[in-house]
Amino acid sequence: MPRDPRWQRITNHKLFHAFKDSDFRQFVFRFISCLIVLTILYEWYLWSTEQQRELDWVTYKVSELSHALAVALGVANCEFSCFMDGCYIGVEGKMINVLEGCNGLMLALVYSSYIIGVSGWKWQSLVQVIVGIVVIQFFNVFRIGILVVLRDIGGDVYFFFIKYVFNVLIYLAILLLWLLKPYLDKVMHNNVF
Amino acid sequence: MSFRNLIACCVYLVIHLTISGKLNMLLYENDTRDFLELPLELFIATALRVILGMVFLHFSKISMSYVFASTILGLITRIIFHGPYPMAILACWFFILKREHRL
Repeated sequence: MPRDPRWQRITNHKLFHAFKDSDFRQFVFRFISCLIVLTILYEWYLWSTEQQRELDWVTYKVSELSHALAVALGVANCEFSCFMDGCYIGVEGKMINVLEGCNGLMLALVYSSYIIGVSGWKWQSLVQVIVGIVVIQFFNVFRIGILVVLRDIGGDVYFFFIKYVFNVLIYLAILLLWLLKPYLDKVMHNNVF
Repeated sequence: MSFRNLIACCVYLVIHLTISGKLNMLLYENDTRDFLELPLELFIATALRVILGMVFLHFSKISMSYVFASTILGLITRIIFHGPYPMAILACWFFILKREHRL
């Protein structure tokens, strides 16, 4: 196949020049391989919790902590109930439904794929992945907790926050983590050698 | 990160989220969570988001072959792994600009 002239003509097209850049190719390869490994682990984790007829632990914990945050922020009569398909948090009639897709793990997987894509499978990358996942989860708890408060207050501000503010903020937080990566690399390198 | 890149990134995300929000609203109005029940709307929203991602990368003076590769990576992330499309686009954008010291 690679020696086929037609195939060579296609791969020589200027649109495919990026794949001849070994740095970029390596990044893409590591990015995708990391996504494959982490997605398999995540799907296996979801499958095993489904077998036990339970809601997954991460979604449950994120919901529980968000409920605690909403209560701490002064939402009176804030209720919390979980079922197999997700949790409900908030005041009766104004509840928020937290599903498995809201647990922030898919975002964390892509964040991790970038870290592995740039540095490869090193222990320093692994530390940064763990730190990043914890930061993303903290942010997620903060996001859902504030959304419960905004839903309780009422008005359109809730929709503005759920649609734009928190999404943009969580993406920017991940960019900030990526920006900090070289400094974290340096710190870890200095601590080891 | 330069102010220009930060603003470009925020504008990209806001427009992307607006398109996704409109699609979610249509799903809500049709009382479903399955995108495939609205194939035409899904196609239009996907095309708009792909074009938007390409415009964003092009605006950052990234060459067309990298824009093309990044879009493929974004689509793989979204379709195969159900991950967030803009995150994959931002990952490529960040990687390319950082490497060229243009971030």
